[in-house]
Amino acid sequence: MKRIVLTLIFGLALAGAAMAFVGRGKEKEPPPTRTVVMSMKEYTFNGENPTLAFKPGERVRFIIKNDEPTPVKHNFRIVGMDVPCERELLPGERREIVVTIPSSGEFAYTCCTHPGMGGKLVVAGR
Amino acid sequence: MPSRRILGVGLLGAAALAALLVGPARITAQRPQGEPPALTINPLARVARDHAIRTLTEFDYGKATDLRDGTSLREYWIEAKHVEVEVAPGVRFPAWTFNGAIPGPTIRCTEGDSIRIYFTNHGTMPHSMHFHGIHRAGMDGVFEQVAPGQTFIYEFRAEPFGLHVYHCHTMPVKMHIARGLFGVFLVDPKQPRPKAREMVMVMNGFDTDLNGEDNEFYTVNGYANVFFRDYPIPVKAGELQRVYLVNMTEFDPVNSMHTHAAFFHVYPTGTSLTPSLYTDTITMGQGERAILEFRYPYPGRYLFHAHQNEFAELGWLGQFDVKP
Amino acid sequence: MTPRRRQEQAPGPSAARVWLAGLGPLLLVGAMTWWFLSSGVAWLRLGSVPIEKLAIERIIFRPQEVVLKVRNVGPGPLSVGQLLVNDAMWDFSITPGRELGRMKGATLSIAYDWLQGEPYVFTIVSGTGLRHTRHVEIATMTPVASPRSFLLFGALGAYVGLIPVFLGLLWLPFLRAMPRAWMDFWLSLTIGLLLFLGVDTLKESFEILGRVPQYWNGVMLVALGVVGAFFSLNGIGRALAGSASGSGALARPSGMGLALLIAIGIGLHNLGEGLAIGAAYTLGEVALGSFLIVGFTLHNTTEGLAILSPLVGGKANFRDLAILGLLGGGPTILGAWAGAFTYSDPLSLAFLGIGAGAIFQVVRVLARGRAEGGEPVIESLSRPRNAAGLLAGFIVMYATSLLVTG
Repeated sequence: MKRIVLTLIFGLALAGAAMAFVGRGKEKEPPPTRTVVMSMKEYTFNGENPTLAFKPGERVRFIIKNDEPTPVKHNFRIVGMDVPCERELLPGERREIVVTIPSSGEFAYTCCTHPGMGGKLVVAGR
Repeated sequence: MPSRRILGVGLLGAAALAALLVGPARITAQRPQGEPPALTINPLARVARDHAIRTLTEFDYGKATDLRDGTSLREYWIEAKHVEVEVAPGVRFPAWTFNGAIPGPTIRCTEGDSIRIYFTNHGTMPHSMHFHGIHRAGMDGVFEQVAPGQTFIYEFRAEPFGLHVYHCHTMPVKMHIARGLFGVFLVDPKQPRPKAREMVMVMNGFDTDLNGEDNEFYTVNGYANVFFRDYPIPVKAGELQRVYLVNMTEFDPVNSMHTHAAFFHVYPTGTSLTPSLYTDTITMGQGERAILEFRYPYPGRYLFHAHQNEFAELGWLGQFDVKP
Repeated sequence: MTPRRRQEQAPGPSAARVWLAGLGPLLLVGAMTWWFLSSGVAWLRLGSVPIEKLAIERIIFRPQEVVLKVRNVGPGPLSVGQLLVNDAMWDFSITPGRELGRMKGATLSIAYDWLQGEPYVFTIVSGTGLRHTRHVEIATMTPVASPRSFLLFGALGAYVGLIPVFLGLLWLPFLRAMPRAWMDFWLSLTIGLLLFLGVDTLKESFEILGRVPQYWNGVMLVALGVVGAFFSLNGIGRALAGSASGSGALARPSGMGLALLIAIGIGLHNLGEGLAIGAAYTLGEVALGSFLIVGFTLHNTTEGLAILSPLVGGKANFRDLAILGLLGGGPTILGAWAGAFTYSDPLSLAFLGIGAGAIFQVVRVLARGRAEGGEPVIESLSRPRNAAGLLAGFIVMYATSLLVTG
C-alpha cells in the first residue's frame, strides 16, 4: 500500500524534474571554422539567393550585411535553427551570427520582411 | 532509369532546338572558405527548371525549305512520351508530354507556310495532335488517333496568323491536357511585328494527386515559382516586352496574369495588329491566349502573377528584374 | 497406427525433438520471408505501386512559428515535397530530411504569423503528388515544458481530477449516517457510475480512432488495453482478497480492498482523461473554457462517491482515504502533463483502453459482490434497490457529463 503511494509520488516528482530541465544546460561551443558572407542587396542574398551546403556539425559564422543602395531595412532568420528575426539592419550595418549546423536536414533562410528574399541551407556530405 | 531518360531527352532537346541562350538556373553552392561539401541537385528538378526557362525564349522554326511561291515548307518532329517530371520542388508528376517535357516545343512559323509534322506516339495509349488553326478535316487530330508506336504526318497551311496552341485530342481530353500534352503554335504575320524582347508563357495547373477534380499546383512553363525563385526574368528598362500568353489550365475555368507597375496592350489571340485593350490584368478561359506588349520605365523588381491569388500562392508567381 | 507404436511414444519425445517441433515452423516462416523479399517479389511480378501515407501527428504553435511532426505511415518510403498552409505554398525547414523510410518521422518548421483562435489547414504534398492534410480548428499557443507551464498543467489536473475525488470522499460520514439497508443502494450506485465511466472512456477512444493512421491498428490497441487491464486487475483483486480470506476462487474483496480496486480503476480512467484534457489543449482542438473545467470538477466529484461505497460498513482512517484519493485522482495530473508536453495518439488509445478495462473489471467485482448465494449477477442487480441505485448512478453521471460536452 505504502509502496504504491510512494511510487506514485516518486513518479510525479521525477516527471516534474525531467520536464523542468528540458532544454537546459548549454555547453561552451568551439569557435567557428567557416565564414559565410550574406550580402543583402536589391532584395536578394548575394544577388541570387544561393543554396548553401554545409557539413553536419560544422560551426559557421554568418556575416549578414545590408548593402542596399537605397534606404531599405533587412533582417535575417533561419527557420528551424534558433536564428530568429532580430532587429533590422540599415544599409551599411552588419551582424554576425554563429550557428552549429545540425546533423542533417534542409533549412530555409529568409529576410523576415521581404517575400522571396531567401534560399535554402542544406546539410550535405554525410 | 526514367530520370536518366528524361535527362537524355532534355539534353537532346537542347541540342536539337535552335538555341537562344539564357542563363542557366542559378542553383549554385557558395564556396566561401574551407571545403564545402558537394551539393547534389535532383536531376528531375534541374531538367524541369531549365525547360521552363528555355521555353520562355526558345522557338522551334522546324527544318525550313524555301518554296517557289516565296513561302516555306517547315517540317517538325514531335514525339509523345510518358515521363516523370518535377512540377514543384520535391513533387513529381507522371506526365504525358510532347518531346519529353511540359509544355511541348513552341512551333513557330509565318502565315502561309506549309507545315508538316511527323508525329510519333511513344506512349502506351493512343494520342494525337490537334492544332488550333484553319485546316482540312483529316488534319484535325480528332478522328485520326495515333496508336502507340505509330507515326502520323500532319500537313496544313499555317493560317490565320496569331497565337495558337496544339494539344492532344484523345478522350478524355481534359485528362490528356491535364497530364501535359500541349504546346504553343505561333504563326507570325507576313509583315513582322515590331522588334521586341519576346517571351512565351504557358499557364497551366497540375493535378498531382490525380483526383481529376482540382489542381495542386499552378505554373508558368511547367515549374512552380520558377520565375520568382529560380530565375527572375531579366529585362531592360524601356525595352518593348512581348509576352505570348497561353492558358492551358484544366479544372479551373479561368486563369489570369497581372503585371505590377506596368500596363500592357492586349492583342487577343494575336490575330490583329491593333491592340484592343490597355490594362494590367487579363483573365482568360481555357484554351484562350493573347499577346501582351509593355515596357518597364523604372528599374527594379516587379512581380507578375495570376490575380487568382490562390493560384499565385500555389506556384503561379514570377518577377521581372528590370535593369537600367 | 498400431497400439504398440503408440505405447512406444508414450514416454515422450526427446528435448531436441521438442525444440525442433517448436522452432521448425518458425524457421520455415523465416525462410519463406527471406525468399519472398530477396527474389519472390520479382518472381511473382507484383507491380508494387505503394500508396504514400503521411501522418501529421502533432502541430506545435509557437510565436510566429509553426512546427509539424510528421511520420511516414505508408507501406514504403516517401519524400516530403511541399508544405501548403491554407492552400498556399510555404517555405519550410525539415530535419532530419525529406526522404522518409517506413515509420520514420520528420520535423517541419515554418515561419508563419498565425493568429490565436483561427482555424488552419496544413497539407503536405509528398513526392508523388499526394496530399496529406490535417485541420486545426482553433490555433492556440502550444505550452512549452517550463516550470511554470508544468505547474499550470499540474494545477489543472489537480483541479479537474484530484480535488474533486477528495471532495467526493468527504461524503463518508453522510453515507455512514444513512440506514444500513441503504448499503445496497450505494454499491449499486457505484456500479452505475463506473459503467458510465467505462463506456465514456471507450467513447473517448473512438474519437481518437477517427484520426489515427491505419498503421497503428487503433481498435486493437484499445482492445489490448482493455484485455490487459481487465485481467491484470483481476489478478491484483485476487491477491488483495486472497491475503484476507485465503480462498482464491470465491474471493470477494470487501472494505478497503474493494475500495482500493475501485480507486485504481478510476485512477486509470482519470489518466486517460488527463491525457485527453492536456492533449485537447495542445492540439488546439478545444480551447479549455472555464465552463468545461467546472464541468469536469462536478463530474469527477461523483468518482469519490464511487470509491467510498465499500467503506460505509467498515473502518477507514484518514490515511486510507488519502491513499484512495491519490490513487483515484492523482493520475489526472500525470495524464495532463503527458498530454500537454508529449502527446501521442496511439499512446492515448492504449491508455484509454487500459482505463476502460480497469473500470469494467471493477464493475465485475462489485456486481459479483451483489449476488447472494448462487444467484446470477444480472438477477441480483435487478432487485429494486440495486436497480434503482445503478440507474441513479448512471443518470447522475449523464447529467454531470452534459456540463463537459463543449
